Amino acid sequence: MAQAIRIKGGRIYDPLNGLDGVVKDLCVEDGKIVEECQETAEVIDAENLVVFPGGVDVHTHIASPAVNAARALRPEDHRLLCCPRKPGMRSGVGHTIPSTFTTGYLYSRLGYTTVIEAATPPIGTRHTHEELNDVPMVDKGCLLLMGNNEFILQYLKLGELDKIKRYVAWLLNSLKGFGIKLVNPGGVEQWKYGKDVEGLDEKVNHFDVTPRQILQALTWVNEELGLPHSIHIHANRLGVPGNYEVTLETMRALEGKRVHMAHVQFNSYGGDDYLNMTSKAKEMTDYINQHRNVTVDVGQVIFGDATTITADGPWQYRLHKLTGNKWYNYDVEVETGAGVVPYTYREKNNVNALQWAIGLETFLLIKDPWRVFLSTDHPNGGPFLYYPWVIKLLMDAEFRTQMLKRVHKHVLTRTLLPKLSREYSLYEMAIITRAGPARALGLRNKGHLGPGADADIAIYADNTDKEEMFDRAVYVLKDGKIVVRDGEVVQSVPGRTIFTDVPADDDIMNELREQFENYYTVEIGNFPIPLEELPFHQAVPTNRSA
Amino acid sequence: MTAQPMEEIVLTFKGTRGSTIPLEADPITPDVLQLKFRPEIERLPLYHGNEQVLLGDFFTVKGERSNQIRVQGDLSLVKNIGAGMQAGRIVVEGNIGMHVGARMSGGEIEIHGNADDWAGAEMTGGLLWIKGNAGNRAGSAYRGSKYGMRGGVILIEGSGGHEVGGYMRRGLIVVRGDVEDHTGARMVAGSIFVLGRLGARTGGGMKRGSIVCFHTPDMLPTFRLTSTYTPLFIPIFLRSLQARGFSVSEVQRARHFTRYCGDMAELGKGEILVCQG
Repeated sequence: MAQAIRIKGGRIYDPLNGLDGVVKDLCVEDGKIVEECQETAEVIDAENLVVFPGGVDVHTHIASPAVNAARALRPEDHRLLCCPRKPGMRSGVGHTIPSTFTTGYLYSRLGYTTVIEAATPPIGTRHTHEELNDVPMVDKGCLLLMGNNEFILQYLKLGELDKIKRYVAWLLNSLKGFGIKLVNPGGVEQWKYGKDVEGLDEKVNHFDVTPRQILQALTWVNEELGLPHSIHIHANRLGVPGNYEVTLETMRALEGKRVHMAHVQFNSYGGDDYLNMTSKAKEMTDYINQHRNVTVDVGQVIFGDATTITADGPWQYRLHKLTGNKWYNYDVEVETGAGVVPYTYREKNNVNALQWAIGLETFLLIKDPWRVFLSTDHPNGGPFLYYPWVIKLLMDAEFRTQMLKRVHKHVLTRTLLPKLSREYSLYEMAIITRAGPARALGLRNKGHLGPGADADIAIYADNTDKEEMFDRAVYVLKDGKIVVRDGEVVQSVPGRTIFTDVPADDDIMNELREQFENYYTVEIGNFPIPLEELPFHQAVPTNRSA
Repeated sequence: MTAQPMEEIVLTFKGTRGSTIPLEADPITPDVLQLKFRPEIERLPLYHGNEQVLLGDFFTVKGERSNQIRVQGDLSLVKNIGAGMQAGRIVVEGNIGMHVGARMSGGEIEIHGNADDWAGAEMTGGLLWIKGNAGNRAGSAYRGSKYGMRGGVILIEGSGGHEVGGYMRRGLIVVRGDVEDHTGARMVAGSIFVLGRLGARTGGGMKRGSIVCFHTPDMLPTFRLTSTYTPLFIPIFLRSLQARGFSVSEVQRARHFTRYCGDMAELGKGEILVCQG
């Protein structure tokens, strides 16, 4: 039983309820936000402090077989950040890929309370949930990789859309997934034959289906099932100069449908090679500004160490060849692939500096903050620990000007960044890090501070240096419990695993039985994950049942 | 306060009281100690296994606020001395444990005894002078890192272990005695001089950089013989070492070298020079 708390006199930024810096008291009882405070409520003096809803990260990689493979591949990363054991808290290590418990503590210190693991292969999802169970302090969910699933490709080849729908429902239901993720649709299947797809209408080996068909089919399924989150897309040809065309084509193919384009920065490049690469953020954001069905997260690049982890196997091979860095390739049976390559982004590198600038252009050129979300595609663009640095770049044009003097000079001529003087306000910051992602994910109790919302609250000390301000929260409340005080975790709470409550029929399971026996390394009976394996969980209804 | 001539800090090791658990002595660097008075130095936290202890429990301290440190005693079980140091000078009188001078970026460490593994691993600058023998992986990369030593100088008067200068990126290593296997393995740049004998697979996987040998090593088949010539820089370099007090008397007449380039299984821009007299 959580106690009652009154947060007194704080400046509240709650965009979903239209509060822009309004000074008022906030009442918490039994883990929820309520209208009236109890007399006996514990008082948090928030005078001169800024009150935000708890942060919501729409796209991050913190738990999955691939993330764990990255931990194993990078012992050198473990030395850079060490968190010793404290009473009630576990020890842990890792800078770009922290171990599970440490991930939870580090997110919490920043004021984040909900995070979405954006890619888990279905067969690896038991592992993902076991890791998520060990990520404390935050609520978490995972998106299942489906864009290269051979069952789906086979059904698509046969034109059996309804079976895809039933299969997807069964996957989400049995694996406790939150939503549908597509990574390089078609391309990862091609990678199994050493190839990739170049465009949306290229046929995928053996199945004779195109990325366009996969995208459209899974978008249709997503809407038919009424999943709370839209379809979540990592588009084809990520990271390759000239890829903005295929990205625009992807969005055009799904015109009018809800769609989330992940780490769009990595998909906004012009030019034909890395030497003459240019920014196409203008073309991309023009399209996004005109089409209200699209939401994006940016995948901002941070200068320094990163670990690229993605299901996009062919891209990881390219990156390994480009950098000479060590490479881990992972072929996930009939489902997908994955790769891990360590990477370091450098200010003076032409490509890295452009990537950095394109990310910021995307933030600054998208007019509607409700449709662009803060992410570094952790840890692909850089660790989430650097979110405060990104916030400072967005809120402080002067700081951007200083950075422009340090980065590679191509940024000045090949991007619009030097001309952009927009500065995000605290209200807009609350949108892109809280209210917006929560709305796009369809989480009605997250990202706002209205009565009935989960009492996930982050309180910061206002500071002209926004990096310092957001680096450590003064208080963080998770489900009405004070978990962070003065920037340090004071109490470890487990956090819940969020999944979508999709009804599934058993018939499809019987149909799959024979194929499972032929093509999978596990029995179909061992594939579903029973609810008992998620000690703390919360089912989110679909839009159909709501 | 008038500026006093800086006196050195003398740390005398009292021993680990029969324990075989190593002592992690990260704070023993000039950068930390030069800001501290004696009582503060004695209270610096060290780790003995998983137990936090105080520096004063294991060392007697003389002197304060100095960037000149002298450490005395058999320190074979004391790790990380001078790790990450940026300036100043440490003199070690006795043997020393692992990671001495690892990641150091400046200053000097002089060891009158043997050093254990990882001496000067991933260092970026400064001078590490080991009067005795060094352990394995001196000046090399830690497991997983892309690059080892990135600058600075390591001088070893005794012998070296395995993988001296592994993954080396820049800098200089000179070993007067013998070394074991994998010298300069996967090095990307930098120079390694070995006056004694070498173990197997010298320069395996090297992309660039130079390994200068005064005894003929077992060459890998992926190295290609290019020429025998008389590089002028080697006598000049050897004279400068001699002038600094690092004895190279047994090879000072070396003039003619056979050059092998490789490793052809990698980029092949590295070279191994083998002295022919």
